[in-house]
Amino acid sequence: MPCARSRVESVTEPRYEQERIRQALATDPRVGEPELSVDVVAGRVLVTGSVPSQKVREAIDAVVAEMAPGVALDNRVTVASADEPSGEETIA
Amino acid sequence: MIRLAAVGDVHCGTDVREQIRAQFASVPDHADALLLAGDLTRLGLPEEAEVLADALRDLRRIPIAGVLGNHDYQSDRQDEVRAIFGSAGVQMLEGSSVVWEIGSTRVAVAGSKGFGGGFEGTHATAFGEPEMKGFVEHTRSLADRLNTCLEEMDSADLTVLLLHYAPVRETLTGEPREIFPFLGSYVFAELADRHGVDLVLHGHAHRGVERGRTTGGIPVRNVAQAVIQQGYAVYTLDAAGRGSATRAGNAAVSPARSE
Repeated sequence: MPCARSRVESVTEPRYEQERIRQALATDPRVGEPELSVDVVAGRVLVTGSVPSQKVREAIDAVVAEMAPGVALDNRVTVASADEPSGEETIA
Repeated sequence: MIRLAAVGDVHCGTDVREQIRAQFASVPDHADALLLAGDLTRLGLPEEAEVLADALRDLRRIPIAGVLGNHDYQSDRQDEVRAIFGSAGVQMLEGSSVVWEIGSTRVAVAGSKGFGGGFEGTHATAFGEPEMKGFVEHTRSLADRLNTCLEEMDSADLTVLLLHYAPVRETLTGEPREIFPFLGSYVFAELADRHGVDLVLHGHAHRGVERGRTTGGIPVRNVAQAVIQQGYAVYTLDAAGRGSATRAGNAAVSPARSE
């Protein structure tokens, strides 16, 4: 007996789409950053978070382009600062 | 007074050799020792570990200790990664400790990767599927090993607990609550309180905040690089003033570093 099928809205339902992209950014070795956040807002993919290098930041563009061809990307990921400390904290 | 530099979640790749060398070159100017709170590599590859290890080899004049993080396990080559850091003079800790003589102060560092499960009141339980039991038992076994280590550790003037995963909720502020069980476990805070350590350091929570404390009042610092937004943080501790404040649960923390 065939199982009942509920109506599927669309394979591009934003919440599924954003999770699919987030999973790819975590596991694709070009990025490998599970800590990034992905949202789909008004048809645009918004990625936020911090990565260790500009090369990894740029790789986000490539992975998203492959996962969501033709969809606009707003890459707001920053490269973590590695500056010398500006001070210290005393722990009594 | 001793100065400890600390950072986690460096996520070192093969593309950042000069950046990494520059990041750590100044550590001996600011601190007496360096503590690395896991996620030292991005994908857990030996060639990534070599890049960071080369930078750390140049710092041989100060002691360094570290723990691995989940990123360092990603390629199932964690033993190789651990050995590479060991060959660079880094004391890699997992349910183990090291005691350094820094000037006239004996500083003990006990370390573990730590793991998840969540926090008191809602911690995962070893019930149901084997996978669920395995998840919780991994946390418990690491904690048991660390507890034994802390019980047997040589006496010291100052004791630091070094983790990758978070031991308290407070430093996870800013992270989605849904993922708290994957960000840490309270059982390590309980150990810190039981053994009266002076400071707990961890990483892993990139969207968290730097400062928190255990239920018993011990200072906890999230030193994920994305949180501290600098190459490393520096904490000064005074052995003469230790003990009563932290053990009584009202440790005084005087921030000198800009927020």
